[in-house]
Amino acid sequence: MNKKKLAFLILWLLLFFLCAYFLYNSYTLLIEYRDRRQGIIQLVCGLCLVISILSVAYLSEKPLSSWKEKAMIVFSDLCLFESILVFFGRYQDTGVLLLIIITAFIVSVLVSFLIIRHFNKADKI
Amino acid sequence: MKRVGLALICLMFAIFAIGVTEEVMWRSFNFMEIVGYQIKTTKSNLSEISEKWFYEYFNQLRGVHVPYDYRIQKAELDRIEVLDEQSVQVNGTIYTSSRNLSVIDNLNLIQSSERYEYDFEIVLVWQNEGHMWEITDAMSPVQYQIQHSVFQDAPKIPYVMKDTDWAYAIQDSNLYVTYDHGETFKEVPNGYEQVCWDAIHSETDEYLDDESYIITPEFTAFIGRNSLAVKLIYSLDQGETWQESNICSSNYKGKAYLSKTDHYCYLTMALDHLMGDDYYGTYRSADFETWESVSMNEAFDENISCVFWLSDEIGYFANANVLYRTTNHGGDYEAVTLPPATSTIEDIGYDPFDLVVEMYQDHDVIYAIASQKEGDYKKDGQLARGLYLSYDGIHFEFVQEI
Repeated sequence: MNKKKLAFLILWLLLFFLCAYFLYNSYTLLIEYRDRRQGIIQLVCGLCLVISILSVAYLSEKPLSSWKEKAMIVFSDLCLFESILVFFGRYQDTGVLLLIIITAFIVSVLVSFLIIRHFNKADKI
Repeated sequence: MKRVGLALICLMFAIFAIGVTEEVMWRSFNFMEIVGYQIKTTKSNLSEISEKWFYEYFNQLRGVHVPYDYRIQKAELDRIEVLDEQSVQVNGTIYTSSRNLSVIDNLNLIQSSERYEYDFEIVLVWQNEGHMWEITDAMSPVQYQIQHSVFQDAPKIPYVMKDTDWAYAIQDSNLYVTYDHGETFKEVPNGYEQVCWDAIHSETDEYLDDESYIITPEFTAFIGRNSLAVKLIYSLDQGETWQESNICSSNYKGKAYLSKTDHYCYLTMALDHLMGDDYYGTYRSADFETWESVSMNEAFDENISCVFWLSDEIGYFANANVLYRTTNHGGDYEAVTLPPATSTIEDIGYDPFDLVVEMYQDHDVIYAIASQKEGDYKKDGQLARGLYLSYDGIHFEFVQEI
């Protein structure tokens, strides 16, 4: 196993555990402590990561050719950034949280655009 | 789709692993109570020691290993005030990780207007042995103030029951008198138990009937009662010394009227209650040691509404709107009827004033105030009363409504 694959595997595992952490904490906060706001925020973070993980898993089996796959990259990135930024902004006011979500959306579209362009170049070569 | 399925299985496993790990960590979390918390330091300044405690104490509550009913985001120290040689008040702002009732309760936090932001106020009592400092007690600032002398030494001001220079006052089941509009007070020994008998036994308020006491610099007296007897509690030196004088034995607690003339003190009081009516008796004393009975006429010895002694010999007993006047301290009585309130009758068609409630003398003129038994005639929202005057004490004339 080369270094690149090992790094990818560690990153992949981290993503899993982070997702699991969000989902379990959301359950605890909603059911046991009845903090609806924090519970929902963590649930959103967890579900975003689930979508992101499943999208990447799906894309890894397919060639990046059709617009559907390209859209999925955008969607996957979007979920990943949403999840991370919402988690860091979880104690902010609702207005700030909305701003964070919009920022995550713009950043994810830009990052996805760069990824797709990178793959397109690679295909042409 | 194979990898998607695998990812889902891995995710389930990760959730299970995280759940088990967190539950184990949270259940094994050991919360350090404030009382008994120890700090080892070479410092001796209570302020610095308390600051060190604050950050140490709240840092243990940060992190994923802390359950949400204790977990905080951060703690900010706002103020430290040294209260005495051992006590320090610490004020801080605590930002909790979640909003739940348990965290507020467990950390003694005070709700603020901001979400996740709470105030923290505590008074710590420190004790040291060498370099080891230990918190021996912790309390809220209010509890500290109650325990310490700030409030305990504050003078208690009795509540004056009437807005006059000479008045009585009640504080913590003690009876006081004041002769300077509440500036200073003199306690009536055992006064509350005997004078405020109704308030104690019938749970009524502590106001005394105006006619049942006299407070003047020359003579101050209250009617005291116990289960057997009626007594006069009086002072002749502005409350400096008090005496008690037994008047009669009676266990009925009805209305009483106290009057002071040049040489006598008169007391008229309800002695018995029969078929809905109070039956009265009158006593007088010149030396406050022996009391002699003053004979009363059967025509008015029930349901008296006012007693007024103009002098040692001349007195009035009011029964409804008829005054019974004696000029030989109860030897004979003559009935004096108040005249009709003509101007009021012209207005409303009848005379409503049928109950004399007050009499007084001003510049050799005797005044009587009559109220209403039924109480249905009001003026400006107040029960109207009629004022009458007499120059000879026998013939009264209606003056006006008051």
